[in-house]
Amino acid sequence: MLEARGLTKCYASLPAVNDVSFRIRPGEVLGYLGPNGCGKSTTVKMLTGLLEPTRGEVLLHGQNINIDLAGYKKRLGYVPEEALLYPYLTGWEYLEFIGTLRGMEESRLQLRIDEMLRLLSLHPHRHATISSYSKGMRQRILLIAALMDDPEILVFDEPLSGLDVTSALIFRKLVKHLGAQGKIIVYCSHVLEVVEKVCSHVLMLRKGNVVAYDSVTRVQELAGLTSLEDTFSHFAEERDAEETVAAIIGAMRV
Amino acid sequence: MLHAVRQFTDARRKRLLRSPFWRLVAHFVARVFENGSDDSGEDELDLGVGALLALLAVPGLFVTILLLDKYSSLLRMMRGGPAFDPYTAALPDQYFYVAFSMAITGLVAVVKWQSIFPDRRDYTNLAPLPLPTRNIFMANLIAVLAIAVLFAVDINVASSLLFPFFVHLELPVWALFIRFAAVHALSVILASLFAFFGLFALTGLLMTVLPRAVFRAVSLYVRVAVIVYLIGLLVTASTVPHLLTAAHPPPLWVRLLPPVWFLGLARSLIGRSDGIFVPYAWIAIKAFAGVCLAALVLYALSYRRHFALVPEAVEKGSREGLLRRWLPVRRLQGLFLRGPFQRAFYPFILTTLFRSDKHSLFFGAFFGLGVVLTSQRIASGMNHQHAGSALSLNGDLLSAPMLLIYCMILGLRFAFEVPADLRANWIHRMLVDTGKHEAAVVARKVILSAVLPVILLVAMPMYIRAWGWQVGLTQALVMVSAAWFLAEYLLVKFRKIPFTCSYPHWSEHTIFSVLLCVLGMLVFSTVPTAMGQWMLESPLRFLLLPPIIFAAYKWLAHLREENEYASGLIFEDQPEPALELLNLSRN
Repeated sequence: MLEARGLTKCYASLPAVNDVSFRIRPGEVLGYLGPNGCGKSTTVKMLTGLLEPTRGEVLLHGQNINIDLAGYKKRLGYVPEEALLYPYLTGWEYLEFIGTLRGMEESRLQLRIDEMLRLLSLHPHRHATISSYSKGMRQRILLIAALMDDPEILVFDEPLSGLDVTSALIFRKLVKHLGAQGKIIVYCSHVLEVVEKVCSHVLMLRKGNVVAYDSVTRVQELAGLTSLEDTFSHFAEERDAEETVAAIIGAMRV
Repeated sequence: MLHAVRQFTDARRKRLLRSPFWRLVAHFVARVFENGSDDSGEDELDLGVGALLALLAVPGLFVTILLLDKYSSLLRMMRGGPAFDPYTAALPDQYFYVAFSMAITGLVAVVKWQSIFPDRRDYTNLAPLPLPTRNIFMANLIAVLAIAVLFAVDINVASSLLFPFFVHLELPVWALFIRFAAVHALSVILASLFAFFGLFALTGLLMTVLPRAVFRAVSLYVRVAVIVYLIGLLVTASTVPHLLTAAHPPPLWVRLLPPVWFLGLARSLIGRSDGIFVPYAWIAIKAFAGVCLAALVLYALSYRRHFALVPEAVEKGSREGLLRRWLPVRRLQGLFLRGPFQRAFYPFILTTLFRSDKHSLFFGAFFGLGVVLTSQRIASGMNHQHAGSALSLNGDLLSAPMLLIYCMILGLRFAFEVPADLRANWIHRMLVDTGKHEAAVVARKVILSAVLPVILLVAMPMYIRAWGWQVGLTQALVMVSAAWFLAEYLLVKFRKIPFTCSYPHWSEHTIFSVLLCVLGMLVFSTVPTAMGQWMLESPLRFLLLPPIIFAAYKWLAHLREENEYASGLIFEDQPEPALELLNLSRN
C-alpha cells in the first residue's frame, strides 16, 4: 500500500501543498485532480521521491520511502508531465539507456523494448532520433520507459498528452488492466471523462488543500451530482466557467 | 589479428556499458558532443564526435605546417640565412602554442558550457531511476575529466608531434628531440587543462554563489567576456614573447598572463629558462593545482545547489526586456520603424540576439574580436606617439574604431543566418506575405542601430576631444557612410527574416568567405578613414563625397535590381547544385 501522510511542501514559507493524506491499496487507481497550480505536480514529485516534503511522509507498505529511496524507485514507473527526452538518441537507444540504468538484464531488456515498440506502433521508427518524433510518439516512449521493468507502482502525470485516439484508448484499457493486476496507480489528468472511467478513487485539490477524497461514486454522491465534470466544478474550480467565458468575449471586443 | 583485437575491444566495451554506472558516464560524455539543448535537431550544426575532434585538431596541424618554412635548414640554406639557434627561435612559437591551446580549449568549454553540467533534462530522466545521487555526481565528474583530457590531447596532438620534429631538423639528436617533445606536450596539455578547469571552476563558482535566476542571466555575459579574454590571449602571441626576451623585466600585466607561466614551465624543463622562467614555472604548477582543486570543490557545491534541487526551482523572474522597460527607446523606435513588418521584427531580432545563447555567443565572438583588434591598433598608434607631445593625427588611431564596426556588422550579418527555432516558423509563414516583405530593410536598421552608437557616442567624441570638431565630424560622417554601405552591400541578396531560415548558405564556401572577410577588413578599416584624412587636407575635396555616396547608392540599387527575380521571402535556403542536369531525355 502506498500512503501519503500529511504531505506539506512550502516554497519560501508559502505552502504549495498542505497536509495531503491518502492511501492507495494494490489494485486501486487514484485519480489526482485539480486546476493548474493547485499542487498536483508538487505532490507527484514528492510521491516519486524527487522532492522532499517540508512536513509529512510517503510510506510504501508502512515504510518511509526515504529509508531505501533507490529500492523504492526500482519499484516505481513514472511518466512525467514534460516529455523532456534526449533528442539525439533514437527511441531504441533511449529505452536501452533507461533499462540499463534500471539494472534490467540485457536479454530481457532487448526483448521487452522490441515487443513494446511493436505494440505501441513505434517499431518502424525505432532507429530515428527522438528529435524527429511527434509529441505523441515521445509520450509513447515515456510510457514504455515507465512500464518496461514491470513496476509495482505507477505514477502517470498527464499521460494522454499528445496521444492519438487509438493509443489513448489502448492506454485507458491498459490502466484498468494494470489496476486489476494489483498495481498501485496514481493518475493525474485534466481529462475528467478518462479519470471517471479508469480510476477507482479520486482526490481533488484546491490551492494545495484536499477538498474531496473518496471513491469516484461516493464523491459524486456527496456533491449530489452525476458527472465527474460537474463534481470537479463544484469542489475544485475557483471561477465560474460561464462568467469567465462572458468576460473573455467581452475582452475580445475591447 | 586486427579483427580479433577489434572483437575483443567491442566485447569489453559492451560489457562495460552494461554496468549502469559506466553507461551513465558514457551518456554524460556523449551529451557534450550532441546538441542536447535543442529538441528540433534540424537547426543545429551537429558535427558528431569524429568531426568535432578533427575540427579541433586541424588548426594546430595547419599552424605547425606553416612553421616548416622557419625551421627547415634546407630552405634557409637556399636563402642564405644566418646561423640559427632553434631553441631560441622556438620561444615565440612555444608561447603561441600555449596561448593557442588555452584559447581553443577555453572556447570549446564556453560553447559546451551548458552540456558539461547535468541539467533539467537529466534530472527529469535520471532522478526517478533507482540510481543513488552520488553515482550521478561521480559519473558526471568522471565524464568531465575524460572530456577535458580528450580535448586537451586532441587540440595539441599535431603540434606535439610535428613542432618538436621541425625544431630538431637542425639538431638531430634523439635524446634532445624526445625531451623537447615530451616537455612541449606536457606544457600545452597542462595549459589546455588549466583553461578547461579554470572555466569549470568559474561556472561552479557562479552557480554556487548566485541565485539560479541571476546565474542564468549573468551566464551569457560571462561567456562573452571569457571569449573576449581568450581572443585577447591569443593576440598577445604577437607581442609578449618579445617583452619576455627584452633586457629589462616584463611589465606586470605580462607576468599575470597564464600562457607566460606555462611557457616558463616548458622553458625550464628543457633547460632554456635563461634564469627568468623558473619563477613562472612554479606559478604554473601552483596555479594548475589550485584550479583543479577549486574546480572539484566548486563542482561538488554547485551540483548540490543546482542539480539536486532542480524540482525545488520555482520558475520565476521577469524576462521583460531592457528595451521594453526603457520606454523612451520604445518611443524612438516609432520614429524610424515604418509599417507592421518593421515594428514587429525589429524588437524580435534584438530580443533573439540578446536572449538566445547561441546568437549572443556568435555575435559576442565577433564583438570580442573587434575589441581585441581595435585595442591592438590603438596600442600600435600610441607607440608611434612621441612622449609628452600632443596626440598626432595618425592612421592607426583614426581607423581603430573601424575594426570594431566591421566586426560588429559582419557578426550581425552572420548571426542572422543562424536559425533560432525552426519549429516556431509557422507563425511567420502564416502571417507574413512572402512576396512583399522588408527583411533587408529591418536587418539594416538593426545593424545600423548597433553600430551608430559606437560611432556617434564613442568614436566621434574621442576624435573631437583629441583633434577638434573638424576631424571628429568628418570622420564620423565617413564612418557612418562606410557602415551604411557595408550593411547595404551585405544585405543585397537578403530575403530571410533573421534567425528563421534553415540553412546558412555561407557554410557551402567557407574558405572563400573567410578570405573575403579578411580582405574586406583590410579595406574597410583603412580606406574610409584615410579618405577622410585626405579630404581634411583640402576642403574642396569634400565636394567629392556626395558623388561618391550617390555612385555607391546607384551601384547598390543596380545590384538589388539584378536580384529582384528572387525577392520572395524564404525559410529554407537550399544551396545551388554543384552539377545541374539538362534533362534532355525529358519530353
